[in-house]
Amino acid sequence: MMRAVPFINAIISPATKTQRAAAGGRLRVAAHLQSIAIGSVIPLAVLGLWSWAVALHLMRSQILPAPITVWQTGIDLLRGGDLFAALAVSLQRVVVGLLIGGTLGMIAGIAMGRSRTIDAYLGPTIRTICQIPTIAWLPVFMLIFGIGEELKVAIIAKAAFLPLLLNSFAGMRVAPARFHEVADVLVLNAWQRLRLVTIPAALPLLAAGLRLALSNAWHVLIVVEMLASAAGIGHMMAWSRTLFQLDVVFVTIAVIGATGWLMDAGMRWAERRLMPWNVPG
Amino acid sequence: MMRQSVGVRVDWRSLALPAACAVAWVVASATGWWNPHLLVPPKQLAGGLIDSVGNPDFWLAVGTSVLRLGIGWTIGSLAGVLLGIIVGCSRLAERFVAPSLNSVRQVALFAWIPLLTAWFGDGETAKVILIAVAAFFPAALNTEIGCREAPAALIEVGRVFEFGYWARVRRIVLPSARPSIAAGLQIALTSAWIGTIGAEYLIDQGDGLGVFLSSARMDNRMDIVLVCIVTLGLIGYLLSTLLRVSFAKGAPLRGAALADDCRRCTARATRCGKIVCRRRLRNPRARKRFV
Repeated sequence: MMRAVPFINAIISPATKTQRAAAGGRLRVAAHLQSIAIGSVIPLAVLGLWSWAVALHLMRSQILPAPITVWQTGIDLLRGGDLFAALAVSLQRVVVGLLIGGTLGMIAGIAMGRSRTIDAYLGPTIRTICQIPTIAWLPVFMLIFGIGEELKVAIIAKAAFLPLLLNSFAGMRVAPARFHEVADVLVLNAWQRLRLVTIPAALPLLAAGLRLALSNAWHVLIVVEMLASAAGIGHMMAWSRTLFQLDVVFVTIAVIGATGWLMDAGMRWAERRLMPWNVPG
Repeated sequence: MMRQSVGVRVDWRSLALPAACAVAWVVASATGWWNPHLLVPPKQLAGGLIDSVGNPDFWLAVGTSVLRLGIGWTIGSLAGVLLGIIVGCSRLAERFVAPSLNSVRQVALFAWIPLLTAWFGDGETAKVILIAVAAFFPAALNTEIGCREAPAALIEVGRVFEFGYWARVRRIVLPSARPSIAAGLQIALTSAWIGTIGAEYLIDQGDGLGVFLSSARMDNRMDIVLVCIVTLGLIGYLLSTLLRVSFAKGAPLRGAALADDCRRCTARATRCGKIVCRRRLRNPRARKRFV
């Protein structure tokens, strides 16, 4: 949902820039290891408390399974392929919904960004409707689409629509006036201007919109799958909760977190690799 | 929203689409060419509105939800601001806490519900904890960034005055973090409101607007569902306006920094997590929304 820039930086590059610049290779590795050690104090403490609580039977084992049980379950689910099957279903829904909603959002955003008339007609209505959070639309969508596959795709499309609309809208208008002045000086034609000014200026924004859309879509999908689904990682979690298999619940929570993180990190990495001209800050 | 900042000038073109939809709605429901259960006729929607407004249960549900939101938000954002100050003022604390905090934050909010209901039951505790979690992260993140981003010039002034660590934190870091903390509290409120409705809707026990909504859906009452959704949108808007106004009364929030891409004007968060959002700088009332 929100960007954790400082937190993520703290993980990826724990030492400050000056420290890194000053330190040589071995020192850098040592600093890195030190950071990892410091960062894992709290998780290890939690793990210790958890094992201690289990060992003393502070809570019933259905409610608080032992860490080792959770680990075993995780391995079993991975080996048995259940986890991947559920994850595949969920990811497929995200991709389809993202394609539909994202494309529509991008088309609307580009149209509104290029033409002030279209913006004047459509903009206020779309912006007003989008003020209501996606989760609140869920009951309406359930009445309209039932609880089948259409529901998931529609709600993900809705979640992905707004970020891409707003960002492509801004992307169309973001190129600084100076760039256009330079283009004027260089006497670029329309195609060259599009290729050299408009698209490079808009792409980083589009990528940011896509990343936001992906994270929204993932969060919303989990809710939909918990409510109304017969497959997917959210369903797996809700179902094992019903069966009081809390070890599976722990595993799915970890998988949901890890998947969300991986998608975000992957998008960031792709952004950096594909758009080296976009140096933030 | 966009026009408010300019004045009360209304662009009539913006009304064309809603008007067209309204006409289509009236015609479609009069001729009955679409399922009237889904496309509720205007008369029925008005009836649903009157039913809900006249129904004490509805207001009880609204009151319960807002109360729950208040409790959860207070707990969550207090904890968030405290941790944010600690993490933002101390590099060591950051290295200890940030990695864990960041990993936990990656889990979608509502994915905690199965665990919370298993541990605390379907009652008030699980819901309030979820709301607190929803409020916690935005508050913590924005506070942390606000504390870290204290202007270097001010820190230098502090050095000239030979401030100690505590004096620096109390007289420079915290005051300069204020706008960011206020923004964090606002985002936390929006996030907590979504958490409230979602928790009630997903757990579907006890009372509250989310439960009311859920039972209206079960009864296939699209009119009441729509009334509920508009109500929750309005409440979210009102609460967040209230908070903004009270902060603005306390001290003007100029150039509040948010740790996210700004959705309204799509300014991008810079690497340090601060957004440089010209719209927000110009118009502190520009807000943002989640999910």
